[in-house]
Amino acid sequence: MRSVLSGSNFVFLLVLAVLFLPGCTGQSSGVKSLNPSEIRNYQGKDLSSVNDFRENSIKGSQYIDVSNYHLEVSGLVDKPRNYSYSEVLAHQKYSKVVTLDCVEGWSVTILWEGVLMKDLLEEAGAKPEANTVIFYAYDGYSTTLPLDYIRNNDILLAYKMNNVTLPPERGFPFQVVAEDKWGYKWAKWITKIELGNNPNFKGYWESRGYNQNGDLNGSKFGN
Amino acid sequence: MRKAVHFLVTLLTALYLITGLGITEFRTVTPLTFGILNKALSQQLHSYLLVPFILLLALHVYFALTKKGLPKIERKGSVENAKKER
Repeated sequence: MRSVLSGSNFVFLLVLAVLFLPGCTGQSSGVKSLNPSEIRNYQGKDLSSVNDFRENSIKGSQYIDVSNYHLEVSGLVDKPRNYSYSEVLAHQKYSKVVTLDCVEGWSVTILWEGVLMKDLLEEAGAKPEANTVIFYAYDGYSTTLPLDYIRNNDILLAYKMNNVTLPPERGFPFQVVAEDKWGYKWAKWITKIELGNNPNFKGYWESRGYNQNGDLNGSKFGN
Repeated sequence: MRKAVHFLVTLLTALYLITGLGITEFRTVTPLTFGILNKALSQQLHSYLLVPFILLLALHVYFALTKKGLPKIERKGSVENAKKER
């Protein structure tokens, strides 16, 4: 033991320690950060897990290649837009805890993070006659929300849930956070947002019997 | 009456199961029913069937109990009466 720590060996070990200690403590610039894990509590509120959802989309999970992805904002707007994924993320971000209630009977409470839908619509410039926002998804799904509801309720277009990026099965890249509405209004895998002037335009489930308004305190079925 | 109730309970049980599956497994049930039983219709029927199903089930149980249970009580009673008479 004495021979190892004596003389030139001691100096050599000291030099090694100086060289490698920063690497061991994570101070090196070469350290890559891993994806954060989901949070299950936010400001004292217990959150559901990303895995607590029941997969009930019309065609199963969709896998979107973000390098080819574009979000179209069109219809009754002054300046139609075509955003890339990163362009949408460049907007001011917001987060809030909202519960999704499914007509099947289950619900999940999640911390959603995303951009305000009304920010995107303002950039496109909604025409005065526009009153309905139609969401189209990658799998052919569609649903509608009133334009005033989006303007008055700070509705999010979410790209994160519980502090992690939306997984493909949860709607990556974007999901509508239609708070106070049944789950069928929370469209996933959004590819197009169209403004129209027909409040009776029926989306996928609305045309198959579910209520047009989709209000939690209203009827599930009919008009 | 009993037979009608038993038959209706069987029918409603089947319908209740099918419409329940039509809600949760609509991607399978809707094509199997040629598009007739979609998720929304399944859920509407499922909710309408709940009360009749419970009522018929209660009747079904009542009939089953009265058919097998009551004669036993009567027999027991008759034996006790017979002892008293002695």
